[in-house]
Amino acid sequence: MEIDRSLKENRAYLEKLYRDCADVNIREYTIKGLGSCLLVYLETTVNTFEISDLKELETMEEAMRTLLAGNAVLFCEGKTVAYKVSSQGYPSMGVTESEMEKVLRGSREGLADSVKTNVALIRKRLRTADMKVEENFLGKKSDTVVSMIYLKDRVPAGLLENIRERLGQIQVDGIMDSGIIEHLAEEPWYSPFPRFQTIQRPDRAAMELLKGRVLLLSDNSPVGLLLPTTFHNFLEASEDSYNRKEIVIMTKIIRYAALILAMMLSGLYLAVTIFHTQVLPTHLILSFAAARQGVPFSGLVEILVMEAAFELIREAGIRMPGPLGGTIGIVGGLIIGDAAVSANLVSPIVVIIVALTALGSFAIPNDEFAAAFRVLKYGFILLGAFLGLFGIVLGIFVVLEHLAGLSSFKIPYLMPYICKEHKDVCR
Amino acid sequence: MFADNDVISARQLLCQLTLGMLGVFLLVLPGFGEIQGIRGVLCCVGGFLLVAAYCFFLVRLAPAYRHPEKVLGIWGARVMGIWFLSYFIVTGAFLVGLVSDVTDRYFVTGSSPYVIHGVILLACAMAGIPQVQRRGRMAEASFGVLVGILLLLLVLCAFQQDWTYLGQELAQQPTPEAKQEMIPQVTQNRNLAADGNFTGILMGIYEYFAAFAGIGALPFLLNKVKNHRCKSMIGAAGILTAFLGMALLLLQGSYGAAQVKDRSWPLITLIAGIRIPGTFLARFDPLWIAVFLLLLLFAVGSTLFYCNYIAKKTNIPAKWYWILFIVYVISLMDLGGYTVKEYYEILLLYIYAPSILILNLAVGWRHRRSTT
Repeated sequence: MEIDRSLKENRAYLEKLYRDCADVNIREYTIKGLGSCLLVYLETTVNTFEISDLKELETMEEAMRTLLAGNAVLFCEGKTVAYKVSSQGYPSMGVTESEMEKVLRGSREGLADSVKTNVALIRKRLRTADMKVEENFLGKKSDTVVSMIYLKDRVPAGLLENIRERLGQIQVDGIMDSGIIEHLAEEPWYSPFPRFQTIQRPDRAAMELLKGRVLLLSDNSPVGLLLPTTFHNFLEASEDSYNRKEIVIMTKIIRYAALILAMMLSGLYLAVTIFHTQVLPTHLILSFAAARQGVPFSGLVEILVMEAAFELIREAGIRMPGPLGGTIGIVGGLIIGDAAVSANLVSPIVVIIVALTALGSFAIPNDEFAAAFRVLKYGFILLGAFLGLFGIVLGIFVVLEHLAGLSSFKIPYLMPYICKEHKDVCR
Repeated sequence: MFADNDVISARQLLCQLTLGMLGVFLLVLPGFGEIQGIRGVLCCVGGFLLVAAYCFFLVRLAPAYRHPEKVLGIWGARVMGIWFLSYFIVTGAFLVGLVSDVTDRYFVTGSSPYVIHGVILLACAMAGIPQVQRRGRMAEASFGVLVGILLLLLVLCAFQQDWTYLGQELAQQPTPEAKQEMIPQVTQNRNLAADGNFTGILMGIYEYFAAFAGIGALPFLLNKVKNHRCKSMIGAAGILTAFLGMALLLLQGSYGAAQVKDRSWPLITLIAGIRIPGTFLARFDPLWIAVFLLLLLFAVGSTLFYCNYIAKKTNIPAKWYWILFIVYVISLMDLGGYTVKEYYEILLLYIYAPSILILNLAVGWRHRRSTT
C-alpha cells in the first residue's frame, strides 16, 4: 500500500490500525523545511530522537514494520515516502556472560537478546565486507527478524539456497526463540540427534563463520544456530582453538570416552552382570554380589529407578532459582543417594554406574547433543538387560546406521570420518 | 557441495566390500575344505589372483547392467534378476542362521531362533535397505576401528604360537568328531583330498573363489560408484586375503594341522586364549566376538540391500518387506532335517558360484555383440 500524500489520510489510517494500542503514540509537528509532519513511535522504545539512521520508507507496510521494530516513523505532508528515525529499540538484556558455554580461556561475552546487538558482536570480530547479513522476517504475527550471517568467500556453493528454501517453508504465527526455527527446519523429525548447533558465544560464532558455516540469529533469542552441523562439531568446545594441541587432543579423547559412557555404561553393566559374568574377575563378581545382598529389586529395576531419580534431580536443579539449584544437587546426589544405599533399595555399584553415566553426559560440550545420548541410554539399558552383549551390538549397529543416514543441509552428519574424497562423491 | 545423490566413493565401496565379507571369511573359511594351514594360504593367494582378474572383467561389464533389459530383454533381465535374488536370499538366510548360532553359543544361550532371527533382520532392515549411500557412509565410518581391532586381535594371537606346528602336514582325513560338529552332514561324503596334491590346491582355489561369488552382482552397483572401482574391488579382495592368510597361519601355529579341522569357528577359540596383562577383566572373548557379530550384521545388511536393489533394477515386483519375510522363513526352514546352514555349501560351490560366473560371461558376450 502506497503512502498517501495527505497527512490527514495517513493519520486516519494509522489511528484506525492502532486503535486500542496505548503504547503507540501519534504526534503532529511542524518542522521547518518539511512543513506539517506526523511522528509515530512506540512509547517504550523511544526516549530520545538522535538521528543514527534516517531511511526512506516507500510503502505503508515497510513503515509499519519499521515502527513495530522499535523505531520512530516520520510522515510529511505532500510526500509519498516516510522516514525511519532509529531509536534505542525495545528494552533487552545487554551483553552478559554466557551461562551455557563456560570456558577457562577466551572472551566472556555472550550473545544478547537483540539481534542487532548480536550482529554487532560478530561484526566486531570479523571486520570484512565479505561478512554478509541477510535479514528475514519470520512469524505471521511476530514478524521476528532472523539474520543469516555468512562469509561470502567461504560458504559452500548451494548451501545458502538450501537454507533460504528451508526458512521460506516455515509458516508459523510466532518465532519466540531460535529453538522454534530449529525444530521447524530440521528433518527428519524423529532423530534424537540435533542437526543445528546452538551457540551463545560470539567469538566461537566468528570462528565457525571463518570455516564456512552459516549463523542464524533470531531476535529475542540469545542463542544462535550454526549450520551445517556434523557429529564432530558437537564435541568441540570454544577453548579448543585457544589451548595447546596436546591438551586439546587429550580432552577430545575424554569427550569421546564420555560419549560412550553416557550412552552405554548402564547397558553394559546389565549385560555383563546378567549374561556375561565370566568376563569379570572372581573377586569383582563376589564384590558385586555382596553389594547387592538384600536389595529387593532386579538390576534392571535398580538402574531404571536411579536413572529416573537422577533425571528428576537434574530437572529440579534447572527449575529452581539460583542458590537453591545447587542445593538441590547436593541434597539429591548425596543425601538421597546415600539414603537409598543405606536402606538397601539400591546397591552402591549402581549409584556409581549412574553417576559415571551422568558425568559422561555433562562432559559433552553441547547440551542438545548430550540429550540425544541420554535418550539412547534407555534403549541400551533395555537391550543389555534382555539380550546381553548381543543387544548392545545390535544397538550400536542401529545407532551407527541411523547416524550414517543423517545429514545437515546435505552435509553428511558423520563428516569428517567419511567422505574423505569429497570431490568424488559430492556435487 | 554435497548432495543426497545415492552415489558412493571408491573408498566407501572398498569399506563396504571388506566389512561385508571379513566376518564371514574369518569365521567360516578357516578349516573349510582345503582352506587350512599353509596350503590354505596358497589356495587363498591363487584364489585372489582369479578374483582380481574377475574384478577387471566385472568393471567392464558395468555398462551392460545399467539397463539390463536392453541387453537381455525384459524377461531375460527378470530371469537373471530372480537368479541373483535367490542367491542373496539364500545367502542372507545362511548369514542370519550363522549370527543366530554365534549368539546362542556365546551370548544368549537357549534363545529362541524365531525371536533372534526376527530381531537380526529388523535391525539390518533399519540400515536403509534402498540406500547405497547410507551403507557406504556406515562402512567408511566404522572401517578403521573394526579392521584395527581385528588386526590387533591377530597380533595378540601371535603370542600363542608354537612355530614348529607350521611345519606339520595336514591330517589325511577329518576326525569323526569334526564331522559331527558344524560340518554339514550332506558334505561328509565329499572326498577331501587332504594330502597336499595339486588337485587339492586347485579345489582350494576354487573354494576361495566361490566365497567371492557375491561380487558377481557388483556390476549392478558399479554405476553408482565414482572412479577407481577396480582398485577398490581388488583392494578389498586383497585385504580379505591378507586377513585370512594371517588367520590360517596363526591357527596352524596354535593348534597344529589336525586340530583346526576338529573345531568349528576355530578363530573364536583362538582369540578366547588372548590374555591381556592386568586383572581388569577375566575374559575378553565376549568382547572380541561382539566385533565379529557386528561384521556379520554388516554382511546380513549387505545381502538385504542387494536383494532389494537387484529386484528394482530388473523390474521384479518384490517389496523389501516381502524379501525380509522370505529370508526369515528360509533361515528357519527345515528340509528333511537340513537347514540352510547345512546345504548352503553345496548350493554355493556347485550351483551359484559357477552359474553366476556363466551368467556374467553370457551378459558380457551379448553386450559386446549388441555394441559392435
